[in-house]
Amino acid sequence: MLKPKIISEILNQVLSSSINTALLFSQEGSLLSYATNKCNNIGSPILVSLRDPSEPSKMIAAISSNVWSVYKNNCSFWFEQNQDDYLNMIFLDCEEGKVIISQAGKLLIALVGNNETEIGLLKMKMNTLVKYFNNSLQYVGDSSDN
Amino acid sequence: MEIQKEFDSIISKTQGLQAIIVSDKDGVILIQSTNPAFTLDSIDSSLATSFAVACDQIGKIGLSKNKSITTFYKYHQIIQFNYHPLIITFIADKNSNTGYLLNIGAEFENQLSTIANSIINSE
Repeated sequence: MLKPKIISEILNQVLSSSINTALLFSQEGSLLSYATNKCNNIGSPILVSLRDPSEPSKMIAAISSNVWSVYKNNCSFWFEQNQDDYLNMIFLDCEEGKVIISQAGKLLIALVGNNETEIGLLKMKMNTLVKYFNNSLQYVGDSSDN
Repeated sequence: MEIQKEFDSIISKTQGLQAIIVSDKDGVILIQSTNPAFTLDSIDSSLATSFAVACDQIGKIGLSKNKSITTFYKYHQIIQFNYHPLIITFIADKNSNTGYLLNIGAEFENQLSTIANSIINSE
């Protein structure tokens, strides 16, 4: 049985002054659990003004899952000489922050950091989270996907 | 062409780097350079159009404009830079140095700005 509160606590452990949001969401883009800290700087002014504090996280989950599916589905066309090539991780570098997305079981995890965070740290934290979640989440999510 | 020579020399000097492609958002290739052992046959315009779509959406996350997307596959990594209206794509082995590739990609912005500006002006 999934316990969202505990998942949120685990996600909370990867947060730092430079990594301000951690999300767990399905491949269809629906948010399962998230953790944010006080240094949160994400979300456009319109979103921050909304009452629902999970609104920016929901949007990141929706967009990240879409980006993930675009790169995952095209992989077999681009690298047809390596048929077993598969997508491991996506790193997005934006002007005001950095995002890293990876897959744990059948679900996706995303970490959002500000510009001070480095790609190596994001990758390491993501690998640790994926390793931790991989076993427990392999039966959760859409069964038709794999 | 100066830039073509520079691309060729970067590919020969950088371990694991297989291809550098400069294209527009529709996937029309302007400049490309590949490692002789690597074939670009299967790389079509979908690589650039996927990036253009993803870039557009990432702009709505709330972290301002997207600068680059790095995708790590089991055997490869693809780094794509958004120098509107141009897209630079690096295709490399999974073990090549991502930080180094991100740095050299960032250095191309000035060099390609002349081409980018002339495309913008002609639109």
